[in-house]
Amino acid sequence: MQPENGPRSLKMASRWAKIPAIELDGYHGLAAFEVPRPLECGWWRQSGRSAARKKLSGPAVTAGWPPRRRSEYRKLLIAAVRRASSPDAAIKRRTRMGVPMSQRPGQLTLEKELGDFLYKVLTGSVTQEYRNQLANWEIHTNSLIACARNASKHQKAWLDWAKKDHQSSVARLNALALLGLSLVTGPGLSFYPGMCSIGWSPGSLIINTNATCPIPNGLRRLPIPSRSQFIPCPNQRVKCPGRQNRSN
Amino acid sequence: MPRAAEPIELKPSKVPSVVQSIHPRLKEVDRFDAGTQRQVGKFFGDLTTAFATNGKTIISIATPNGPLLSAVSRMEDSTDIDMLESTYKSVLIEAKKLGETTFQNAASGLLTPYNNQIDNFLAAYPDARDDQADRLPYPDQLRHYQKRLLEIVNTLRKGWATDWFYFGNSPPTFSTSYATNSIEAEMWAFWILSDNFKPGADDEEWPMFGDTGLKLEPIARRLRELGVIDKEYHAESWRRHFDKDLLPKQIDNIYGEVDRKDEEEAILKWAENHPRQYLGGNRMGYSPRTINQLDLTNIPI
Repeated sequence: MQPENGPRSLKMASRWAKIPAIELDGYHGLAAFEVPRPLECGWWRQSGRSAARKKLSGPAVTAGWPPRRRSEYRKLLIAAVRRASSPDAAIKRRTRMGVPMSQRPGQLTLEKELGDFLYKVLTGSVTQEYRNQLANWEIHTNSLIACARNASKHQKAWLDWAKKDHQSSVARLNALALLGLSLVTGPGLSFYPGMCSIGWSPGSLIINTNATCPIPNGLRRLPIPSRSQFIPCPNQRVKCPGRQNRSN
Repeated sequence: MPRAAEPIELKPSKVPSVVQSIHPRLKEVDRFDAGTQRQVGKFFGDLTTAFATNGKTIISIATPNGPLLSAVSRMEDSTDIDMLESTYKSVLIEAKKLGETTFQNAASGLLTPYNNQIDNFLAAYPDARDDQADRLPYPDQLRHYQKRLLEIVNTLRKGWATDWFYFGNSPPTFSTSYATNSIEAEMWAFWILSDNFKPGADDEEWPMFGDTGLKLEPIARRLRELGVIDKEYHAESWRRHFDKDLLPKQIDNIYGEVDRKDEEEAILKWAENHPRQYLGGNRMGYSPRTINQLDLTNIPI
């Protein structure tokens, strides 16, 4: 294929130069800036090299343009892409005409978007991350406090039980002591009504007293006479009414 | 005949204030034992101090006399668990406010030193500016610089994680049942020390009675339940095998009831030397958090 009938766009040119389109895809703006596109130089309209050279200008215009062969075109295209992607070219482009990037219309949007992005990240994601961390700590603290509450509740309950158990054991021991006392004094107590029944009660030995026989109610066989029935006599033993009745 | 045959009058007024203060008031935060001339310990004071210590680590970003510091000082003055809970909540609220304000200020003022120029900001970080990216189409260029910004934010987050306790550390995981048992054992240790156990009579060395009139036997029973003392039956190993919340055995010379002097002394010694883990704040541990890198794929923007 001759250059005169060559590609009318860079895409076609890259295809024609057998450079993968994906390689040129990110560079098409730069490549289009540096490399005279066939459409711009109008080489398909004019015939002859001189006409083409006349139209072209810039660093990409080299001797031997337009290329006659596909391999020449490919070399030119690759060289142009390399020039465009060199760091020097990037710096030159960025500081072109001494205008900062932020003041150029195309870059102002980028800076604003980046600033917004940074603000959103810090106030959104990072702040949420901090909140989540605080929430984890709050859960942990609440768990510890709940554990402490439960532990104190258990201890208090056990302590109450221990006190009650202690009180009941004291009462039990007191009852046991009373039981022992009753075992010791029981025979004496049982001997007393027996003595009473035969008239040897302590009260019967007391002279000039109004003592009746202090027999417990359960042991009484007869109703105890009223106090007025007894006439106190200093020289006479007071007879127990039970014995008196029995003798009768 | 044991001494208990004599009726012992329970004196509620002599119940140690520690026990009284468990619920609802923990009045006795600090206690000095005049008999042994030493500090018996702080009851919930240690817990409070532990919380406060953790709270203090975020003070590096707090302003002096600010609300966070006030909240932390209020928390240190807590004398009961309810007050501790409420003051700790206020500390968390203040910490939350302070953190969010700090992030807000950081977001607003991050570009200020750089004359609000993202160019200058990026130039301050090495390799932030990529010449290759300037040749990309606008969406790719934007994405590229967003990635670079996230790398810078990740660097800032690592710095914040180093400086701020709550941001950089995660709470430890623990079993609540085991923690409850441990705290109760520590409370018993405090209680035993506070109850001032001594022999009931001058001419007898045992049994010992506390100020409440109690002996150590019922306390030992509870300590058996908690696992501090072994239950003496063949299934003890099975009990420990199946109940993972039991505390490790710490008293090993008590057989049956506590009816010997050396057994009582073993319990008193345990109470004295029992480590304050939870109440002492030792269990308020933390583990450094893994700071996951923020990327364009995992930020919710």
